[in-house]
Amino acid sequence: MEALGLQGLTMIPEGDYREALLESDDFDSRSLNKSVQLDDAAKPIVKKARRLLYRRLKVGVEDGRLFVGKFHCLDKQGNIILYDTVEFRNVSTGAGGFAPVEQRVLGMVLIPSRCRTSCHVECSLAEQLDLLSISSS
Amino acid sequence: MAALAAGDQTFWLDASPFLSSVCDELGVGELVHGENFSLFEAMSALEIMDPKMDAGMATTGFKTFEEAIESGAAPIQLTIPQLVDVFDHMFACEATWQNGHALAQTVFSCLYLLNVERTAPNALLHAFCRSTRATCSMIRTAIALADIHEEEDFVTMAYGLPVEGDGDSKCLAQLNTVEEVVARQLRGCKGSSTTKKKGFEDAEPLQDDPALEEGYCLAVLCRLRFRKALYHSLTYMDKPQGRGLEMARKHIAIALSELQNIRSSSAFLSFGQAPDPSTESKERGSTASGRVAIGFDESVNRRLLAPTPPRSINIFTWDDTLAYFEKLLQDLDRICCLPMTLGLEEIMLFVVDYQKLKPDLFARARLQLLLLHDGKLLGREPLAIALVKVFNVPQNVMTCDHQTQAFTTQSARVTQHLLKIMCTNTAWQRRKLGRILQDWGNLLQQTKVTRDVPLESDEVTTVPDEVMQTENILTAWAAEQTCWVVRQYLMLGFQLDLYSLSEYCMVYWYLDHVLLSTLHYKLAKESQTSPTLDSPDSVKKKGKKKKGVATVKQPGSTPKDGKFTYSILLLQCYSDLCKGFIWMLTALTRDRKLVHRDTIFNTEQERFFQRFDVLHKLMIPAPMSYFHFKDSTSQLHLSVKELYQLSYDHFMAVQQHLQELGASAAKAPELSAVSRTQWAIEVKQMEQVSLRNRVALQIVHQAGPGDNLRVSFEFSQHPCYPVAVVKKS
Repeated sequence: MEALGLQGLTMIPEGDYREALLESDDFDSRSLNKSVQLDDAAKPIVKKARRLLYRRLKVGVEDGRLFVGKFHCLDKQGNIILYDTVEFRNVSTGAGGFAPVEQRVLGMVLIPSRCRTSCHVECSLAEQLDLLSISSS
Repeated sequence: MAALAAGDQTFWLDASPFLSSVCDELGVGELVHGENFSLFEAMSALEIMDPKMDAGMATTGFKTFEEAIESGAAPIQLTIPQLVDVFDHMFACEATWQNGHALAQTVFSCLYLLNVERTAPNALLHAFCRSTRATCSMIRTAIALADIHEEEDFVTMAYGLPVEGDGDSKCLAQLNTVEEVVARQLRGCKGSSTTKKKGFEDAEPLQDDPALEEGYCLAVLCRLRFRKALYHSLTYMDKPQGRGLEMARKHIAIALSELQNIRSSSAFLSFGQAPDPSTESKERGSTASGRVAIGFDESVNRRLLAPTPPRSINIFTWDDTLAYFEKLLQDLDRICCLPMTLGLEEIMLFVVDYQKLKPDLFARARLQLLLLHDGKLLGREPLAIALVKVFNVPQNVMTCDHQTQAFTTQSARVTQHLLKIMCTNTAWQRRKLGRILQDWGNLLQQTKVTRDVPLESDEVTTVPDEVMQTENILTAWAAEQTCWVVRQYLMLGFQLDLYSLSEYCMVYWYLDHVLLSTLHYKLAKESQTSPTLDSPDSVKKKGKKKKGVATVKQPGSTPKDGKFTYSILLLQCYSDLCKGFIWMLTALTRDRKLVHRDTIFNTEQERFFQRFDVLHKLMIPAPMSYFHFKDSTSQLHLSVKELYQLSYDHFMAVQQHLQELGASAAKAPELSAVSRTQWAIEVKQMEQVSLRNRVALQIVHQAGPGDNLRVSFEFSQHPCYPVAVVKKS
């Protein structure tokens, strides 16, 4: 485990999920398992939420750690499952301006809603408006 | 941190409000997920903030070593009582570690050990830390080398902890120095108390109160000496070919006596400590004084446990720690007693016997390293050569016959594997034994094949008698060994409590069969002069012969020495015990004195198959089917009373054999002292089993139909042969 500067983050490769995203609405309706097929006419907001799948999420938890991973699952209670997750955390409580961040790879994690303090989704500038509209709807 | 950079062209957009509105809209049980989602996989997700899964969870403790040091959690200058607490807790951590907990949570929760160089100003602490680290490193290496910790909780990986430090080899010199200082101190304060001469200039007192000085000196001294003796004994045991065993024994004896001193120092150290329940949350601490030692912090290494969930562990209590070290040293001492002249057979017996003590992982690792040093038996000779001695075949056959050589190489490999397996814990051992049975089966097959070849091809019609004889010997040896493995496999089932009461009868029946096979091949091997003994035929013979009454083969005119008759007689005893149990169990079941739990899931036949399926793949001991079993145990023409009598006779026969055993043991001067004591214990146990079961049999035999007697079995005397306990219900 080593403490890295913030620039280490940019080294995380961006998935090539964007293509998948474009057609996500189509395959959702035919290929997902029973529970999804049952309510084919899922509510529009749920459909929109599905468009966030495979995107990177940044979730903060109570003790100050951040988890950056790909969005895998969300349930009614607000628990989130991420995969390919990396944990970031401030190590020193030291006085200096430089706060080393320690990171480690965790794989798949479940973040219960009760300890979630923030949640951000990664998006490009071009998508911003679209997603904002999602947020407002 | 909050502004954790996103990709080049992207930024983070707050999604919390959106997600919460999604959650409101989602139906119960509905999930938002993609096509790569499976609930099964999701089960393995780490749950964040779950204390049992999330190693990275922020805790109240220190986050790094530096932080802990800065906040003064581990001061270098300690008072003597504090120092003794540190020593004690370190011992407790070591014991906990050897019992299967992570280094990071036990020994290396000690902040002093994480940076030993830091402790240099405190000579006592420094020497102690260094030798602790050196000892742990030795133990870790030994266990990793022996490679028998599979399936046990021991973790050999160090996960980046400073397990080995430069200059730890010098720890002895440092220990010696501080020991001398403390010893002088002790002499000084003894002198001052007797002559009433206060204030000696020799050295600074260890602590302030002169009245307590002597006690503390003693407490420190015995701990240092224990450390030293432990270190010494481990280094001596490491010497190849058992050259250091004698010295190791000496140091083990010292360590044990120092352990006694440590134990007796507890009373002094805990004086005036106990009656303070308000501060003492734990009832029994890990130190002699009962105080919590300073300088230990488990949370410092939390991050080093990386992907594994942190376990909540309990460090051994002080009493447990002392008991652990005592047992460990005794077990090690037993290993040191192993005479370096033992032959292969006696070594096997030694290991089986050693396992009955339930030695801990490290002791077993040490034993294995001694037995198979560098792949050589006792580090002395390659196994193949040791086997040639066991085979005892003529030298010229050995050198000329390629098949014999190939067979020897092969058997050396399998035997080495067997020895290694026998040092693992019993549960694992049984599983492994079941697996290597096939190897032994193949070995047997090989002897048969090699023997058949020269007989078929005509150009080698002049097979010398010696070669033929050699083949017979080899077959008999392989068969005997296979039987031995099967026997061990079946007997371990009792020790591991695998069999249910309703299965005892079939197990003893099969065991008896195996024992008789062993006996047969042992005789065949010994009677090498009589070429009439043809193994495959006699296997068939035995199938018929062994049914019913005890037809114990007498060796006839075979040449035999004391040791040989001894092991034959022992086998006969085992066999008679088995027969005694077969009839006793049959009779009790028929007499409705034994309560079998109904098995609704499988029939007796299925259970028979499940128990002995693995043995059915072998040629020798000849596979026995369920119908054989039913056939030979039903004996409907005999009444219950007669069956009781039959069983009684067998137990009586055991008694007689045991007496002969005692007589022949006296006539076997080449028997090593270790084996002799081993056998003496075994004989005593069997005597008890035979005696108590005869008493039980008499009771049930005389009981009228009105008495509601219930019989149960207890393994109180012998690990594999129970004693019947009769109770009125």
